[in-house]
Amino acid sequence: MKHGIQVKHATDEGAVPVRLYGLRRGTTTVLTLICAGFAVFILAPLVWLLINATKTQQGVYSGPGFWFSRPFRLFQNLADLGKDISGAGVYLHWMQNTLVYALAGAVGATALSALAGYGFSRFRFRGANSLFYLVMATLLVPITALALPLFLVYSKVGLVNSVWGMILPSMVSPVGIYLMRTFIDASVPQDMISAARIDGAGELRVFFRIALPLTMPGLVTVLLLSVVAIWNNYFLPLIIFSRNDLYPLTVGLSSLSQAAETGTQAQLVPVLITGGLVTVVPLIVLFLFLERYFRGGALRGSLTG
Amino acid sequence: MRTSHGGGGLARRAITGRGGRRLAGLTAAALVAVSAAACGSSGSGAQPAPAAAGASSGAAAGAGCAAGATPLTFWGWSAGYDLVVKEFNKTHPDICVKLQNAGATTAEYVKLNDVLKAGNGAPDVAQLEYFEVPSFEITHSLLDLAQYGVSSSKPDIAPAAWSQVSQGSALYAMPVDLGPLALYYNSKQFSAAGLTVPTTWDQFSAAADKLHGADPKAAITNFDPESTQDVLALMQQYGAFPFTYSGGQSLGIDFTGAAQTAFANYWQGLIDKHEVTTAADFSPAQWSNLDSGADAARLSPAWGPVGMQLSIKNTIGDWRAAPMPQAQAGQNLAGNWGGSTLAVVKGSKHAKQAAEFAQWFGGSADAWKILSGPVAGAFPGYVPLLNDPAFQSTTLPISADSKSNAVFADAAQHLAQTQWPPIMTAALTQWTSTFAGVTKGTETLPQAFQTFQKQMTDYAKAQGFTVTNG
Amino acid sequence: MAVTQPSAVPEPAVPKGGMPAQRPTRRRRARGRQWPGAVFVAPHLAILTLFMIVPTGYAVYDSLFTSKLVGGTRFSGLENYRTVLSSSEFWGGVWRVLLFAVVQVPLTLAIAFFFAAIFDAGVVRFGKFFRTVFFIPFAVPGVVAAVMWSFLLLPGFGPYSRTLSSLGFGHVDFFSAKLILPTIVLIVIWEWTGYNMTILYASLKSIPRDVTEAAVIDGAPLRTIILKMKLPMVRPTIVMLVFINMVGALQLFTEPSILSSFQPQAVSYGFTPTLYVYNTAVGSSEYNLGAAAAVVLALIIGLISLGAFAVRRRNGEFR
Repeated sequence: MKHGIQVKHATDEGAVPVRLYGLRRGTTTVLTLICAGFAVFILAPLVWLLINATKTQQGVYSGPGFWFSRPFRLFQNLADLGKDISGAGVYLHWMQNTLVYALAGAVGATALSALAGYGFSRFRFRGANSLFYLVMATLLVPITALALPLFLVYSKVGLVNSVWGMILPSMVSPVGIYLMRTFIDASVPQDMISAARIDGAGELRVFFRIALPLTMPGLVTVLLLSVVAIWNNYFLPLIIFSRNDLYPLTVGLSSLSQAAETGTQAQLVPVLITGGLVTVVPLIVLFLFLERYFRGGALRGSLTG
Repeated sequence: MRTSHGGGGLARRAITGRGGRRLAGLTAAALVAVSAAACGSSGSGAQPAPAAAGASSGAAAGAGCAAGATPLTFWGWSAGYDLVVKEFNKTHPDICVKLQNAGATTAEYVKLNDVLKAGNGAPDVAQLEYFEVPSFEITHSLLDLAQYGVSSSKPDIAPAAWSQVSQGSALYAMPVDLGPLALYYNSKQFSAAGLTVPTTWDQFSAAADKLHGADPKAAITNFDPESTQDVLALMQQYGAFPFTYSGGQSLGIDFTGAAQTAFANYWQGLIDKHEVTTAADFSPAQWSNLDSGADAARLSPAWGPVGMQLSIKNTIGDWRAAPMPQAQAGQNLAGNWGGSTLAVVKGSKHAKQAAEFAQWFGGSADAWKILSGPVAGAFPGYVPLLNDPAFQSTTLPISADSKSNAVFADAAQHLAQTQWPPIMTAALTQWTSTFAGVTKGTETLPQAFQTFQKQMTDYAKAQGFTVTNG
Repeated sequence: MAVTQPSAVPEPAVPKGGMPAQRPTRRRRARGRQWPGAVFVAPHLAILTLFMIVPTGYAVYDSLFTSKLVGGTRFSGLENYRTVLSSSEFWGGVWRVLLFAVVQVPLTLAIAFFFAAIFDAGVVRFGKFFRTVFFIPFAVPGVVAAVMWSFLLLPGFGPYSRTLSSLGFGHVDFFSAKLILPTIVLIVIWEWTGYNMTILYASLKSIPRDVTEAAVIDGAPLRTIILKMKLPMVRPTIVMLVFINMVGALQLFTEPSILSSFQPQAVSYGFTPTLYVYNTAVGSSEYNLGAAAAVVLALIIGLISLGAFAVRRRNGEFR
């Protein structure tokens, strides 16, 4: 069981050499197979989505689920997404909207979460705990119940059919505050802050020059989570927008699929499937791009010395 | 236990290290993307195929308006409406209609209610299906179009359509399209089974017996208990429409009267004998049933065949239309499933022009040329087109060279009475759950009717109506 | 608070007894320098108030009224609450989501922890690749996930259904009353395992290497190291994840609502409490009743969450 113990200073992956665990040789293989099985489970629906976005409605229902069938209609289906049906809007316009909302909202959410997380983490002001619980408590309210009052509030402040009406509420992120608070708790030592204060730095300065750089992985995490949440948000834009040129992808595609049910071109299914595909692909690409940084940074920031 | 030594080193490393630079780069990229998106144009050459005519930017039909034209906002969702709006703007340069898709059917009605409650943001004209008109009438949200002379279109509109949007001499919406029902049957399968086309419901169930007796896998048609409008259309045709309402506070709900119970027993009988299938309407199961002979006929609305021929393969060309079977021999009543109207919303600053637009939309040959065309494919409530021999002779691949339109057009002019109640949104939402048991086979249609009777009565009473049963 | 145990996002394992040297400093500073915290929190709070708190207050206020189509709006006090609390449809939904949560949350977390632990221990080949793949469903919105799965499981037509019947299982109706809840559990596990796994993995990675090495040198087998040593050390993370997953489970809405458009008889009016709220407030235009139901639901979830918070407070989370 105890082989020659070599405590290497390992890399981030596989910190302790496998040999040391005294596992039977087959265990690694079994575990790898289990992971492969789960990976198939995870990827199968996405592969299905890709393959069936190339089919007609007929093909989806009667063809083989996981292989192609004639005719091959991927580009036709993509073009249908771009078609203007009863003013339902052009897909690229919705994609543009989604990008604007997601990026602006996520940057805002990250900024506000960082500020508020820092405030909760490093200061014990009166009412801090109650406020924190209040922020967390807003997670409990289902937005479907808030639809009408939210709309009425918007109406009063003139935010109906306004881009800011989408971006501003997206900056509210209880989970983001929670993450930033815990990250700041962990990564920003109080005595650094105290030292800086003794040196005469103002609070904002301390925040920007000391706290923020130390919490970079946390910021990226909140940014990523916010982008995904706003990208996939369906209810808020549904409630506040009645102009299809303001819709993000979620609402736009849903309105397109409803329009696809009417009229002579009632090919709802390809629109649904292809629309789903184009909503998902950019985010997956974003993940793969950011993931390298996100994971590495998280670890690098945490290991001292 | 480590000390916080590393703190200083951490900070130093983080500020100068790759972490800081990467985040800066990310933020920069984000800012660039945001500004690019904000300034960029939509519908660029990156699209694989040119968008359909009329797609300039996201808001259709905004382009091409003359300066100084009266602006109108029109909420509508049906396919082809953008083309009609474009035509209107072309031929009426003094008015500029902007089509907005604020959602389809119920989604739009919810939004319309919200904007009315908020007091701003309402469109000038809104597409409303027939069943929803009373719900907006009762809150006094629709303008009486009679004062703008729209009543002059009355002779051009199918009578049943007109009566659904009128209250006495007041007119609350302009009818556009209809969905009259007919018996759409597979002629090959019928002749193979030796069936004659039934003209009464008794003959229909006899035909069902004969068909099923010869082939236990065949049913005469599909009956989806959870498809609210489908069932209501059949009830209407049977003379068993469950609602009576002519404005005001008094509302009649009757799912348990003689006619309704007879209707429920009739269909439950066919369900019990497996002579009808109970697949969901428009589901792949339904199409597959129709295409394989599991269903020999469909009680189809006029807009049905066009969608149907996209979803079936083997039986293209075999289908024929005939009038619906009647409750009593010699009658000629039809049911109606679907169809929309255009209403002018209260608070519109340009009511006169809005009324003009609505009237043109539903009651002019120009509009109907496009509405009945290949994109929109709507079935008219517009009598001149209904009676037009060319229209009646149009053929579709699914029905070879038979003239289904003639049958549907005749049905459109013989629709049975309907009086939609102002509680249809709730009725549509609650119907599905209540009738789920019938599809699953855990309860009978008459039982579901009883439950629904109570549900709707309670709901209407809670909303302040005086409810009469029957 | 010093970093006594270096930790990554999102959850440090804070040992009891921090750094005694810190407290006197902080207490000296306690007076006078704490108000800037409020300034930092203010921007977020302002937006939160306008977009969440005011509408919520409005909704709660509205729940005390009843509006009728005939007769306008009147104050009705707790009448709506009485209706909701005596609605068997609503409570049916409550029990259903509780059952759902009790099954789905531990299952998802167990699977997530299993994978996080074996990746952390490095006993799997291609660990990085698998971790990336498992996280991808997070990029898929719930609507799209539910649509994909609905097509895959569509009785008689979906590839999975057809495969099952050709393997001899007969006609499996994933949308039947018996199977609908397990089907939704399956979909939600697909959606959320990767997210939970990623967070647990980061948390496990923050356990100091020498602690693990010491255990290994002592001769502990892998299973013991994972279950008896590492698992307790990431307990705060797990408690937080339980909270987040549980709130999501109790608010279940998207998946059943999409499934119902494929098979209407599968999902009833009050299948989940949030569906009840939606169908009442929006579907039946009974906005006030829906608001009351939403308040009741929020209270139920809040009460259940208080348990989780209490546990964490005991762990020294929120000083």
